[in-house]
Amino acid sequence: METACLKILVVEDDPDLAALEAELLEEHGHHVEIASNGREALAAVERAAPDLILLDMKMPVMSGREFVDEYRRAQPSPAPIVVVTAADDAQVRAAEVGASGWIAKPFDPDALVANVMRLLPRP
Amino acid sequence: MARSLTARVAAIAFGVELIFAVAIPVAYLHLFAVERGEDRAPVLAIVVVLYVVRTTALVGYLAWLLRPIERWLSDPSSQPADVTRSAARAAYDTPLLFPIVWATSWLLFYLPVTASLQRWFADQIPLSARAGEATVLFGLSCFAAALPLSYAILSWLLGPIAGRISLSLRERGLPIPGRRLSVRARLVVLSLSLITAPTSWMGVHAYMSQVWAAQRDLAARAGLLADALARELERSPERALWETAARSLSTPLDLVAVATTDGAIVVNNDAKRDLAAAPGLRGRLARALSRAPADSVLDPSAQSALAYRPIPSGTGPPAVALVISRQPVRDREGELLTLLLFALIALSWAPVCAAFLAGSIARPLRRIRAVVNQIVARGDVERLGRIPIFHRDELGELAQGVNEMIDRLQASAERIRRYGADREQALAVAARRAAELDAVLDNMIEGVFACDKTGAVTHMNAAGLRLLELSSAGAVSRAPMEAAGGGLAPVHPDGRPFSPAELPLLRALAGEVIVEEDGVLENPGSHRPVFLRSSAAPIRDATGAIAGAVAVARDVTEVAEFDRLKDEFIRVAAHELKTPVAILKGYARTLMRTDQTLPVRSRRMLEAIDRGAERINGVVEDLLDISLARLDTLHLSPVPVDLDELVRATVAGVGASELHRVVIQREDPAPLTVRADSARTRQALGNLLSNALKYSPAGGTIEVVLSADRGRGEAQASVRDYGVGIPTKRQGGIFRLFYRAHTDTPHDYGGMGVGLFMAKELIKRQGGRIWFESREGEGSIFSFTLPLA
Repeated sequence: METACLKILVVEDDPDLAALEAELLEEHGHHVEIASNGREALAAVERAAPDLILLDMKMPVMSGREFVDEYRRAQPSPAPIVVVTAADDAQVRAAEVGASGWIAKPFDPDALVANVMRLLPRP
Repeated sequence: MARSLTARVAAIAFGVELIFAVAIPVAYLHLFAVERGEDRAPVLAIVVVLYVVRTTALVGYLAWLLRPIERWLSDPSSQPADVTRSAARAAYDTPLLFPIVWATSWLLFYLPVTASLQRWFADQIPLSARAGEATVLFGLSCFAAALPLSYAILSWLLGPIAGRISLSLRERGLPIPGRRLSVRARLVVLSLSLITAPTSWMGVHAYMSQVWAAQRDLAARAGLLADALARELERSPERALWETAARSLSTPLDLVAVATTDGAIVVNNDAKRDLAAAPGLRGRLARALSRAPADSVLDPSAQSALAYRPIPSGTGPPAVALVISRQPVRDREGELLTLLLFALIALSWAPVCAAFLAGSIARPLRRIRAVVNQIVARGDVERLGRIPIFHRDELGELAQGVNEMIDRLQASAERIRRYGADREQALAVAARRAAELDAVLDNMIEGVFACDKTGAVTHMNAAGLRLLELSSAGAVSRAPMEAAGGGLAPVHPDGRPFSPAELPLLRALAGEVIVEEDGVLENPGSHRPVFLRSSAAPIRDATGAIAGAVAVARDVTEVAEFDRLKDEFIRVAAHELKTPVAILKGYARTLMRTDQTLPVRSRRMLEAIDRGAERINGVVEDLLDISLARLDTLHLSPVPVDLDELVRATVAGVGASELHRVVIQREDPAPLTVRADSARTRQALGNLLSNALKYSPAGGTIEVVLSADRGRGEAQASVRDYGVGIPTKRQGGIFRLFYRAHTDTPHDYGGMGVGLFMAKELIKRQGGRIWFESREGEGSIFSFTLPLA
């Protein structure tokens, strides 16, 4: 189950939840960066291209959907995105933005990690 | 037809007259004692000629009088007003005018006969000197006889036609023309005629008889004296003594004389003088002497008669004994006075009788007329008197008939009045009730619509008008299709127009009863959805046939808005709760998982936090589901699912404690593949199972029975428990949101009243049905179906 250390960008407006997600992923040896909205996330992907993005959809300043549009336009080879949402139709939302996976809130910590692991690009 | 009226009238009138016309010359001849056949012939010839001339003229005159009627009769229905009027005038006036002319012709008819007899036949047919007077009297009696006869015939013939014309005039509202002649006048004229005809006839006859009798007496007396003189002179042939003999026989009224056979008086100069003064007598004597040796001759004046007898004498020229007998001087003036008196009495007596008789006839008729006038003028029959019955005759019967008619009229007027009063009262009551009803209806919050059986809206209250944003003018005549949409066709919020089958009023007209049905339509003014809660029912008449429909609709837009707001709030709130729940659960689990060194106490606390968070999450999930269902944003993705496997997984998932046993029974071993959203079906079944577990006693068994009705193309799953059951009176709203059958009972194990609502929503949205059976204290069976794949 051990994989290489990857750069994961967590985009989440709730700092506590962002911290939990970061905690869980860092526990597995990934490097996690946190952005609290789409705008910050754009800046973050600018600074260092992540290997995976965990994306909340409903955020202030810039929503997840807007971020995806901007990101895909700016980045020729975008990283896979996992939608983390409280929306009841998480799967539909994920499909809409062309995400690679989805995690419904509230999530089981193990399920989150497992989901991420499954999606991570094999080296 | 054109000629037939005149022909018919003339034929009947003159035909009847002819019978009498034949008898009259006979009477005339008798009156003037024209008894010899050869004497009668010229008289009759004159009469026939005169009759033909007179009758032809009269028929011509009659035809002329009747011409307007003939013209009218040619086309009675479409004659101009003036033709009809002149026809009526002819029909009414002819029976009055023509008899006068007709009777006058009879008055004058025998004057020329008598005149010509006296003028040309005086010698051959000696008429009395009284012939002129007699002829006038004779004409008068003819006149008096002809007048009522001709009037009777003509009024009998023309009356019906006058009646027809009068109806035609009445139809056009034209007045009735023509002369009026009262019954009194007719009776007076009739009685005068009836008294005059026989009186004058009897008078002239008596008079003439007397004249003839007197003349015959005179002639006889003169004859006797002449015989006596002749005998006397026979005994004394001495002519010188004849004078003495003649004088001895003379009386003051009888002149006894001797004449030669050529008529010259030779004895008694008095007689000579007398004869010279009477040329008629002298002429007749000469003619008689030339014809017969002895004869009697009447003087045309009828005042004297002469008789002569031959004197047989051998010597001297032949002579005749001649006697002129004169009538004694009569009191002519006294006779005339008596006659006049008699005539006056007769002529005055008859009209007086007739006038009284006419009065007794006319008075009841006038009373009848007055009553009829009252009816016509006032139209008010209530105060009408009754007509007294004067005589038990036709008029009395008429009065009785009119009285009966007035009785009927008053009865029917009373009936009409009472009916009118009742109707007024009923109308007033109806109007008051209608006003009350209108007031009630107009003050209702609900819009009320009513239509007749054709679907035309007959009533709409103020709220209804507001609801449809109609002005009240013209609303009633609109078709319901229009009216129900405020002048525009009602449309669904998505712009689709309502079909007639969707309108509650028209559905009710088809016999459906609709109770509290929610509908949404677009307000054409504001283009916002209007939520209506409608009820409708057909109106049935006494026979049960549908006579119309009534619909009641309430604008529940505000309620619906509020409801939507509430659902939206639930959705947002639930949504917002998810993140903190995720944090709670995430950290608690992470801590428990990663920190193996946690003291037992801390671990228990973390577990409690996780359980609490899990419970919050459950409520949040429920609320989200509710909002999804209520906001109609619940998305299901049905796919073929093995029901058997789904049920097993669900049963395993509900985590039945060791206190309960869940048994799955299959009635049909074949695989059951349904078309369903797997997760949502599990949720629905899970809700049923958790209810069954919740209300079952410890150690109870839950049975899940699966079956298939392939005929209907559906699979059925039933969850049976032997728990507390649901009281009958609380079963009604079991599938309603937030309904809790066991609230405030010993079996209140908590919960929001969401599970069955969601189960129903989920099953319904997958094309299935859900129902239950339950008995208090015995348990419940909840069943649902899903379409087979």
